[in-house]
Amino acid sequence: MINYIPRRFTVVRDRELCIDCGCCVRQCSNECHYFSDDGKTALVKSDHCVACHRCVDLCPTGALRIEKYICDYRDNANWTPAYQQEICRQAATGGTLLSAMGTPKPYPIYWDKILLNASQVTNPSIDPLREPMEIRTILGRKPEKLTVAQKGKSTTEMPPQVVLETPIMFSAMSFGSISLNAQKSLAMAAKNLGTLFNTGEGGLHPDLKEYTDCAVVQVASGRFGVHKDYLKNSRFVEIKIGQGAKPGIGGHLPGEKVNVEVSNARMIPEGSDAISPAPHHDIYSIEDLRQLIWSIKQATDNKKPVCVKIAAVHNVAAIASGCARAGADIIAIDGFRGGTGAAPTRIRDNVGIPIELALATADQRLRDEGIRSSVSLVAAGSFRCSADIVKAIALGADACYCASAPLIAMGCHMCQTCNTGKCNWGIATQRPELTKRLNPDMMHERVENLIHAWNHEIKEIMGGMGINSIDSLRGNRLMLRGLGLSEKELEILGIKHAGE
Amino acid sequence: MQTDTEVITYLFDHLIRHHGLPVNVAADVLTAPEWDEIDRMDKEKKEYFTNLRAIYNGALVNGPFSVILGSNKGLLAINDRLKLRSLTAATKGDRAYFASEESAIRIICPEPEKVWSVSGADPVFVPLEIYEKEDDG
Amino acid sequence: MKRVYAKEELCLNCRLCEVYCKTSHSVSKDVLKANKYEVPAPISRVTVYGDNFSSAAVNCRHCDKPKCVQACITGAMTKDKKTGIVCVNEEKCIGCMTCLAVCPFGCIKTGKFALKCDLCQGEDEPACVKNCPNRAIVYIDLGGAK
Repeated sequence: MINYIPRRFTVVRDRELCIDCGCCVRQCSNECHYFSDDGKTALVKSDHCVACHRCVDLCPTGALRIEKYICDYRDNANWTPAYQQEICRQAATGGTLLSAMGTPKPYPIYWDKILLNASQVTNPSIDPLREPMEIRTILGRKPEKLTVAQKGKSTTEMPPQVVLETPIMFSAMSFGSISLNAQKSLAMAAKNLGTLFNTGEGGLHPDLKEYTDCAVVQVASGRFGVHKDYLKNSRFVEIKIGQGAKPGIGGHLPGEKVNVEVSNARMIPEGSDAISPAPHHDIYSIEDLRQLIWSIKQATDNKKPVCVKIAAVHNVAAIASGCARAGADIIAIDGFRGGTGAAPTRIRDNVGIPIELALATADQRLRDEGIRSSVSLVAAGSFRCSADIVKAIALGADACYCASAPLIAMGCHMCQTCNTGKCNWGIATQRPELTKRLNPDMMHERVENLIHAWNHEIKEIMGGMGINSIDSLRGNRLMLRGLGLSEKELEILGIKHAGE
Repeated sequence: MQTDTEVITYLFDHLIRHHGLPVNVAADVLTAPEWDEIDRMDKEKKEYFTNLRAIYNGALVNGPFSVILGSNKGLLAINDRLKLRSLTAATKGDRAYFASEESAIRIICPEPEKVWSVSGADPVFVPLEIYEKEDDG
Repeated sequence: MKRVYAKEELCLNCRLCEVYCKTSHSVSKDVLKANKYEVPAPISRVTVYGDNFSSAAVNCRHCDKPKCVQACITGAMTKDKKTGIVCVNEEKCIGCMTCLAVCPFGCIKTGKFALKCDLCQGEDEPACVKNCPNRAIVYIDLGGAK
């Protein structure tokens, strides 16, 4: 049987540096390294290399590197090698192409075309090392106004609120798509940082019981593990209508990743694909959503905010408005660049709109309708650095959901093969010999370091703008200017062009 | 709105007239204390400031300012949260004085009973006598 | 005293501890030279047993009452009174390997003389612990419990 496609990568071993210790042989789950018959020489077979860099990073002498395997096709701007190869794969399997993590296609990234302001003369900058910089964020429905008996004594009935010490939360990654050790690292980091992590639709594993106060639990279309106690053991509940990476379809956990623990948590047979239905089969209209929101509020004694997570699609502003009116306290909008454990390639790469535009229109629509204070907006869909987060908050987000970034902190190298369940870093796998590679005691420190660093950068940027509370950055579009954007894009983002 | 003065006047008008807040509460909205301080307050004050900051987060004013607001309810003096501008207050009997510097006050009132520098997150509101019964200063 | 303990549930079976132990006990102290070119080749005092599913690094326990010290016929094997480290006096050792025969953990290696873990001469962190990618080996004081 011939392969119609050349391999993707070549593992290159520098013989002068290689000490044949065999670390690479034992670490690669794609069997790219093996010993000669006498057990003395390490050899390479690059066929299944995915460029995860596990061998590269662990090699004690730095003898390895990964190269793209360049096997030239005739130049063709239309029939690129990628499209040709995808056809070959489908000809071999007859199946839909599956991919993992966010779309890698070169669509425009608006974060990279938006610039930030800084104070000069007319309003002084603030020194973040001398003055306190506040980034505490409160999510939840806010009443129209404060009612007081007198100064110092509030008589307002506040709906349930969630206090975060940073505007960054960890986005949904289910147990099943990632390992328990990875989820535990996120839970520990969330607890130490004063923020929340999201269980995704895989339920909350009993080992994470002590982190329920930092957990957002998801009620997704598959309703995995949803019962009263599940809802009670959380900080707030999130109804997942859609996900940015695959709008319109449900979650997908390939059978390779359904081991006995996942099978118990989700109540499905071991080894079977867990494919969540596309719609919630009891939400066929906005009134049904209202009903579900109210049932959840009742089941949690009205003590927890309810969040609705929607994918950023064409009419996202109207949909957000509908969700707010249906009783959602928090609306999470997931842009098309969001990550995923497994999604059909064509849907991941072609469906949805960028979070920058979705956030701006949703925020503006809610303001225009006078209901912006009735919900908190959480933005998701690829935040690569603290500057992206500052821009999102200035566009109107109350908080930002990050997932790929903390995974990269834990060792992910974006090889985009999570769906195979062979993650060499112990993140997107359930194989015990791989999951033991992720030590939560080490990894939670790395995630905390990342968020601490970002928090500090956010404070520095705010100080440069002359504001010392994130409340003054929220929705403050005057702090942003576009660069090289069209009239229409500037209009949708609601910002001026640099120089204006 | 073209000037800072217009913005602050608009905020006060909106909070007092549309939202029905007392003047000193509206002042708290613009110059709310920091979370560090709020966390250390007693339960009632903590709830008051937390609710206030949660609901009116967008009305927090940045940048240095020293503002005196007069109305038929009384005289209010507020300073920005970081106390970047100077503002001094003084009282003698049933009179109150506000100025940038103490020396200015002493020209008019050579021996005030109490003199203090208005604190960043601590607005000073002096109600007019006639209204004292209705407002709690 | 502080000893090196292995955690089976975290061990990757990467055997980098062995690589760095060799480096630490080499003449060049360079990971490339020590593992590829040095003659005689340095020997690792720690050995990883098992496979990718279950493995652990085994090294000298620096026992409170070491059998190897008892068995040594020349008095080369001693337990330092202050640090508690059990080590070999290379000048006195005649390479009879009686110590190897009596060690209940099988962690003495053969060479010109007996080779065993010396906790990297009392450094802050032995090389194996410092270089473990997953903190599967730790250097702690358990009060002689295990």
